[in-house]
Amino acid sequence: MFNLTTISNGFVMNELEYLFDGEAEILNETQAHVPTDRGVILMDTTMTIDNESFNNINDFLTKLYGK
Amino acid sequence: MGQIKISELTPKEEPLSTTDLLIIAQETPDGFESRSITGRDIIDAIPAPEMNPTLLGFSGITGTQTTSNVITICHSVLIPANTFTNNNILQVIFRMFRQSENLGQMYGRIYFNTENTLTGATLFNTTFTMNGGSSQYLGYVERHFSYNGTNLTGYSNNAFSEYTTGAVVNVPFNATVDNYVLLTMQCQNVNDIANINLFKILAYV
Repeated sequence: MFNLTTISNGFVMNELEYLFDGEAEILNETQAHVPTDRGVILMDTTMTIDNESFNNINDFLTKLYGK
Repeated sequence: MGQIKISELTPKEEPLSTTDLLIIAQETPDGFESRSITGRDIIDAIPAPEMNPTLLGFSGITGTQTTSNVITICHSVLIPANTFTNNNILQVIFRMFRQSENLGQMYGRIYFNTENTLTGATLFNTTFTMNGGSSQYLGYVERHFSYNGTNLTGYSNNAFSEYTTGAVVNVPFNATVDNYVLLTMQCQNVNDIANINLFKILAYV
């Protein structure tokens, strides 16, 4: 399981800090492109955020962006 | 073992074998000193020829087909750690393939990741599109990335070839670890099936 940790205006993945660089682009029910200062990252619902699981990409992105 | 003088050596007239053995005896004040060398010693001492470009991977067969409208890795290629340093070039060529149905658009993309998975992969931010409902069954895409030790640099333009202009796109790339080039397809219409049926990945190092 791939876990992300949220931080202010970004997240930590693989011990690297990523800062948001725009709104996410939803690709389908499970995948999205998230623009960051380290490039556009593909994220999907197999990932957890702060160890929380998600059934759809909308809920995933809401949690990721802290909205 | 028979003994002959060096002046009497004759060509072997067949390829050097690792088990070939040459022993010579050199006269010294105390008698003789023997020295030997094997075919393996000679073969190992020959430096590997510099080959440029280096083919990191290729395929002429159809890869993993898309399912529904999910982005799918059709083919992937490992770039071993430390393949690149700086002042290098990565060349990516692939051919998008409309495998079934002709309803909607098909999208080809290139990602990079340290694992052979799309989850957490970094997109080369250009989408290559084949339209549906016409005769767009194959699309040959080519991109060259320059590497400066930090970023792979290409350009953002949805043209399949590079013989045009576009915005600069940098993809952060840590060459000291294993990386994968992920060649993907996605369908706009869930009933279409896309794939990639040719790719070549080359390194100029």
